[in-house]
Amino acid sequence: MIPFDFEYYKPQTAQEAYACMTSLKASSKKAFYYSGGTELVTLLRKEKIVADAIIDLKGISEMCRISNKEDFIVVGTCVSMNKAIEFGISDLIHTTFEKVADHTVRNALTVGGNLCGRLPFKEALLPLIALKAIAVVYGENGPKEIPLSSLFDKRLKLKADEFLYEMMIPHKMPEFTFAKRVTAGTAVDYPLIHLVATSDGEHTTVVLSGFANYPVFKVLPAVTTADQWMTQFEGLAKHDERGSASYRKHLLKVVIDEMMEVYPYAGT
Amino acid sequence: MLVHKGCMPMTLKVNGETIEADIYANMTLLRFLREHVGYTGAKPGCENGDCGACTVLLDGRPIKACMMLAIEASGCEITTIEGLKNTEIQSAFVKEGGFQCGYCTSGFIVNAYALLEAHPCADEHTKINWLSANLCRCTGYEGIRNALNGAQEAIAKRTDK
Repeated sequence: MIPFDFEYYKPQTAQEAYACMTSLKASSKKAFYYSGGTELVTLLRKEKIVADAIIDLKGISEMCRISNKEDFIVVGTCVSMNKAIEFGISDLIHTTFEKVADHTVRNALTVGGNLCGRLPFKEALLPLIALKAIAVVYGENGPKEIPLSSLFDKRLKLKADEFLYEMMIPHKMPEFTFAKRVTAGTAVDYPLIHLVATSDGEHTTVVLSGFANYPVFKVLPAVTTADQWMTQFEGLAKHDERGSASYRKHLLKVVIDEMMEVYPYAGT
Repeated sequence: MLVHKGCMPMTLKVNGETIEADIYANMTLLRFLREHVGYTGAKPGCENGDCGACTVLLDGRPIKACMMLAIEASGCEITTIEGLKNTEIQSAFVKEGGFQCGYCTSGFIVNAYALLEAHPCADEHTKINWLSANLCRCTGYEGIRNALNGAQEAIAKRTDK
């Protein structure tokens, strides 16, 4: 049971949601946007977060659906990760999303919630950055499009009261994709390392979660070698109860070597 | 815009029955089902979304009721273990001894029921993918696995007729 009461709002438009947040803040109320709730409900129950109000974004219809728009698949950020998998956006999204949390949790866990939550893993970020997704952020002046790779630096750089509205994923898929996730014990666990890579033959994007204190990514020429990739990331390895920094570096080398075995641009 | 402040009415369906209740927004769906509606089949285990003992169906999809606010289920249809009657999966759990203490059993059965409804021909990967959402500290999972397979066979026989 959550040990304190709070107000619950469920707007029907993005404009209403933003206005609600600014109004609550102006009244000195501590308000949070709410999507799947898989993180927030537990944090509220444990009083790690205390809220005066929550604004449930799932009442905004376009945030709960997937549609096509010109060269993009548009995914509302309140779409659950299972629905995103079932829609069949791409094999890479299927492979990556399917490993996050567990199947039942993924019926509630949303794409936006995974990206915006407090947990440092944010594994939905991996295929989205690798696929060059564009984030649509709703703020004071309505929606604005920003490459997700520009919006993310250790965390999503959202301004006060802004929220993640949609993700636009290009229809055109890269020629090379690779994904590998390693956990300390069972498959249902946070990752020691989760690597996703894509390449168009000219540039290669590698995104990591679980390895450092936050997700990290680099975009380098396609001819980058395994040793060069190691140099990019190995200094960021973290040490925690799941594994030491040296073990993570070892795993990184193993995973990068595995990637390079199937990588078509090595030495070109 | 829906606004819920203080103790306010809410309506939803639970096991086919329309329930109207006055609740606060801070009530989780699990607590609502157990304490307001009286269906204690879904259990508080970890209340952290890990164990699956609280699994119920929301519009046919399994969700962990400990991680959801009751107010979110307004207008939705909830199915708890009490709403499943004479299903193949329930018979199979009895036949195969898929439980010991029974605390996790309702969560497993609800999830397995939903799995076989959605994927009657589920392969091993799909079964593991779905049922990894539930933990059992007693059985070692063999009876649960046998129950799931047995129910799948029984459903296949029923639908073939």
